Amino acid sequence: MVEQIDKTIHEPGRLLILIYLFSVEKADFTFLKMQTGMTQGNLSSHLQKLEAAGYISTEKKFRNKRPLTLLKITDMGRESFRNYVTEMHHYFKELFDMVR
Amino acid sequence: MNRPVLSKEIHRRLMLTIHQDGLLDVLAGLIIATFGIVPLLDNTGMNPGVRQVIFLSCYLVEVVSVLWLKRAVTSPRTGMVTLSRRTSTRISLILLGINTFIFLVFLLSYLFKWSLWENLGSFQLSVPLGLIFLILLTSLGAILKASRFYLYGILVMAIFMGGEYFFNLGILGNHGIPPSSFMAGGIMVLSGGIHLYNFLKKYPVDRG
Repeated sequence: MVEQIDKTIHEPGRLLILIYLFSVEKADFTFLKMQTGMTQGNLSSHLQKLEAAGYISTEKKFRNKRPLTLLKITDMGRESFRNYVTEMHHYFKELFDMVR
Repeated sequence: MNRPVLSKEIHRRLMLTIHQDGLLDVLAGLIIATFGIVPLLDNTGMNPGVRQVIFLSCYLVEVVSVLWLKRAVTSPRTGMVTLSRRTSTRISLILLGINTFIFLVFLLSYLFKWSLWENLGSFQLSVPLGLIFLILLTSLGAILKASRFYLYGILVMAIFMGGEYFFNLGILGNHGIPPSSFMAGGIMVLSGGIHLYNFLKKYPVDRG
């Protein structure tokens, strides 16, 4: 049922982040900020929640004396994203049949 | 907030990060322009081995310079992304296919004793060269979802054909390859420069 939807993924900002991370091997903070159009604080907040849920991993290092944060979706995150997409597909298919 | 996007749109945006700075246009233009110096070096009676070293050195300097610019100028603005293994493999296979095709063309020309740099009378040397560049550039455009590379391909082919035409009229030498290369390459470098300028204006460095 609807209450079983993964709310960590279901939030639009975090969903967009996972869509990008699902499509690539890894990406840095600047790339995600540019692609999602979020502010730095907003993006950081969403990334913290995703990391706390175990859906992404972060790797912090320095490059040319500038901080570099690399983000990667975890296997658990990948699996959870697939399950979320499959569930949403079923829900919306039923909803579509209901409203037709 | 951007609305959720479909996978094709995601792929297009990912490819955009690769070519939107115009540096790929600059590199392709420089490579084509460098191609034009080979017949000129031939005319000096230079040892073919030395000529090859000069050509390859120019090519290496161009590639390294553009890669350095990518790292120094583009990455701080667009961020870094490593494409998925599937996408990287697909691109690598396409590029391998293109390189294999070009290698086979040169191999066949050697086996059938075609001389690529000598005057063979009616052999329209510029045309197959223009065709090779057309294939390369349109393939690049298809991989990167960058429609301007299709236009580059058509432009380069047309310029090379024009060069061959003027060679047949006796106006140009070396099948018109040097001026064609310089002109086609120059236009692409200029176009790339304009894209780079617009890119730098649109994306300031994130100091945060």
